Amino acid sequence: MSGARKPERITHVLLAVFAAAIVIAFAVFKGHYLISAFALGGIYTIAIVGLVLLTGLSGQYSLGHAAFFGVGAYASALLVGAQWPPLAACLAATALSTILAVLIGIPLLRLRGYVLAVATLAFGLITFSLLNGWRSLTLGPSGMGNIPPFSIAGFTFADDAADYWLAWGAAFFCVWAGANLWRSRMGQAMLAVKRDEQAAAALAINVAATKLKIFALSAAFAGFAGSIYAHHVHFIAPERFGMIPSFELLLAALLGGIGTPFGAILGALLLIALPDIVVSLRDYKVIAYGVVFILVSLYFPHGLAGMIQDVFAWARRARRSPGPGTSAAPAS
Amino acid sequence: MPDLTQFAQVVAAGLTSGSIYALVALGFSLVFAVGGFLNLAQGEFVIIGGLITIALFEGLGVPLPLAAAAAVVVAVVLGVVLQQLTLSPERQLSPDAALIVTLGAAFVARGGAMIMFGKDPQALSSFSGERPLHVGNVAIATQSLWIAGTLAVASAALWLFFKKTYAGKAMMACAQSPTGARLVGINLRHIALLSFATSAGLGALAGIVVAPLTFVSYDDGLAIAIKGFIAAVIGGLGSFPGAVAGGLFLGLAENLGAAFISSQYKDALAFLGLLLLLLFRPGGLFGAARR
Repeated sequence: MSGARKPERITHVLLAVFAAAIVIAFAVFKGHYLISAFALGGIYTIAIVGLVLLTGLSGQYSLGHAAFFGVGAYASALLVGAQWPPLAACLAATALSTILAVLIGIPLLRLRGYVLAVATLAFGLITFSLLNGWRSLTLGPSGMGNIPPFSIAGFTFADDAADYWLAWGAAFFCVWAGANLWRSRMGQAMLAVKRDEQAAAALAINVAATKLKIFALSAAFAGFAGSIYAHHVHFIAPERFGMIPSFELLLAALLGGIGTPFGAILGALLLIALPDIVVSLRDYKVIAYGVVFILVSLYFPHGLAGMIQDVFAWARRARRSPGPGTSAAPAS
Repeated sequence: MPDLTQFAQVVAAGLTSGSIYALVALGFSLVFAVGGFLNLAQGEFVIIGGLITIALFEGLGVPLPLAAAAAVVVAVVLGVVLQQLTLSPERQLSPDAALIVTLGAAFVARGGAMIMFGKDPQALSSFSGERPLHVGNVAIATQSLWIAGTLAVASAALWLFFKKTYAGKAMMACAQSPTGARLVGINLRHIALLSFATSAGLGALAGIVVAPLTFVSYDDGLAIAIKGFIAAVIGGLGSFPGAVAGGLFLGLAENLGAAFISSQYKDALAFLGLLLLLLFRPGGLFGAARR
């Protein structure tokens, strides 16, 4: 890293580009049916930022993140059904997801990474079978409908355009928070834990507590996103929070890039384009998912965002040292 | 108060599914002990073994022993291809990256099985007739005996392999310390490949013997892998006697839970058990985990 201020400047530029893209995309697609899909993209961004932070910063994997998303969605729907104001329901739903993650995380995060991956898989399957089976609460496989739009202090997000601003506003906040966390002391401590737990512990970093914090945060993001999701689509059913959605979220995070919170935006955009891509694959969809999982973890461990970073780093080096044959220092 | 016959019946069913879990857990532990990663594709070998046997025996009329042997061979070959292409030790994948790779492989296998064998669950006829054996008032499917027998033979063969053969001893050495094993001249690449191929074969074997009792469906693989993992964790991940004991324990606990607590949440109870186990005994019920 050359100069301590530089990463900060890049982050500010990227945030500005992100904000501009949100405004421009709205201007272009205003009134178009796609605006609803884009709102969904914003919601997914929130959940995927959580996954990117979890995997990118602390090296943990969650194979059941759609369950946290689902807990947020169902908790919101049920509380709003019980006449809670949407904002309060959303906060409670986010808190519930977070608490569940802490309960799972406290015992598990003292152990090695794979244990969390399998435990979150188990958690996802338990949640799925409860959403299906606990009919008196969740209405079972047929799902819950008539969820009212989100509202804050009397203002109702009545249409897709309003949802667009709600979702991307929240997504912008989450990406900004993620970028700040990344550069903070705590973020660097998390990176240290990811690289070498024993060395981090020797530097007086509490490894288990650090991993627990990031896991809880990622579940909070997922629960929050789930809550907004319920208000956006007005209808939720267990199948949207099962095993395949969990894998799709993780796939989006890995494809977008786990090396920076901005990767989550790319991942979310891929995720909303996914139905259109995979519909032409039909029966080959599952195989395609599998192949992409394998290729990304073998050859593109930093996803799309990582590739873009590589291109910029390459361009910078080329500009700085003209002429062939100059020895290239590895990026960062 | 449930009567004794019902209880014995549930125990028999529990030991049957437990034997299957044990076979899967053995494969899990074998790969984990040598490679240090979890193979989420382990359940796919079970499905592949079952589906190929059904296709050859029920579809083409190939004699059952031949069909079963062919299924095991195909599963082993697929396992070898997967291991060589993605998971061999010289790639030095982190355990987490390897886990995601095996998850991807599970998806590929699931999709491939769906295209080749269709979406409908398929059945295999029992090896020795549908008439159950009666022990007192308890009816035991003869297929259960085949399953228990397969587990017994497979465990005995593995035990002999580890005690008597060079390759088996080398594998134990790799499980204890990969670096140490390499220092004394053991080829880690060969041993890793052998352990993966063996676990694929064990999985296929489990799929073949269980096919007559439960329908085989292309999308059951991941659930089976997770059950096998739970069994392996119960017995202490990486321990082979532990894998067998853990499998039988899980099968019993699950069937007793389904009979006397709730059958709707049978799977959920097993997963909950896993979470509680990881909480209180992360080293397994019977000992400490290796890594």
